[in-house]
Amino acid sequence: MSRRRQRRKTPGDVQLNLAAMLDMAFQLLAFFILTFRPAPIEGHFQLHMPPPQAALTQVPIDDSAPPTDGVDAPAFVETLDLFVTADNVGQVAAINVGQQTVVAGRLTAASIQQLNTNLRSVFSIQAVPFDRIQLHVDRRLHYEELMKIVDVCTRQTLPDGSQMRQVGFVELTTPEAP
Amino acid sequence: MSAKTSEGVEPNLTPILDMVFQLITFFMLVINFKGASMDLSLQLPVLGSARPLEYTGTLEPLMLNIDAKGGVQSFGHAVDLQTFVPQEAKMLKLQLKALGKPIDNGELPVPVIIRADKTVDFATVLGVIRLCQAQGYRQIALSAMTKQGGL
Repeated sequence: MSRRRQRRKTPGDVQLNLAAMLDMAFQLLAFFILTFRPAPIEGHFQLHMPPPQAALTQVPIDDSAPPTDGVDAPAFVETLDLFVTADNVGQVAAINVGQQTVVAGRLTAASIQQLNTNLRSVFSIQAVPFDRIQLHVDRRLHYEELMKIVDVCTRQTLPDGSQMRQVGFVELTTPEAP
Repeated sequence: MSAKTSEGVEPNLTPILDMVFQLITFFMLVINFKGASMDLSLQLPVLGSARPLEYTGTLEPLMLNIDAKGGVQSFGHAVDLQTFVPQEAKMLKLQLKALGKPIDNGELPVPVIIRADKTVDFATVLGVIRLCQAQGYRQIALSAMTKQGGL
């Protein structure tokens, strides 16, 4: 028999067995490390879609109309149509705003800026209070290119100061510009 | 002073336990439950102006992942959209009814998050959007990375 001297424990000298707690803590740690997947930094373009059967009207853009302060602005609202054609590799070939060609060729930083400037000028004509953009898009267009156009559309500000959210999508029936 | 034998040496486990608990706390705080619904293999377009989703509802948004081949996944499983979206919409309507929330003009108050690969063609994305619209989803959120590389 061993004759090791046992320390006399006083009633207040309680020792926790930390080994068991450490085992459990390591198991928890292993679980969290193995299931760790950092969240990707993603953003969204939040759109409010019209009902599928909504009737949409198109009006020609009248640049000569004098800007109003909103006092005499008509009560109705209109849809601005953008026509986007694509080439065979899914890149933008041309963008038309109404009847006017705004972008010809692939999207670049300059052409995106050009589109933005054009849309801003259209939205500043308060005689025609556009509150919705309808994108007529070529079925071959890649999602990446589409998002660049959606980005420009959602940057536009409505007369009431709110951001453009009402963006609808329609497939372009003919590959050529309208 | 009494000489200690090697048998009597006990490591002090308190610091290591402290450290392990700190690590556990860190991993608990950064755990990402939404990651299960995302297909992280997708290459989303990069647009710095994309914003976090503005949705404060309690019901979970519907997340659809469209891969480069046009296949749709939800929670890591390939789904048949023609049956999946109507099923989800039906479940959502039942949940809203149970919660006593009215459905205004047939518009479901929960957004659909579409995470599509950047090479997916428009026709595929439009097909998904139209199906969601037909089931009453009006709020569509199109996802994009805010930074190159993503993480």
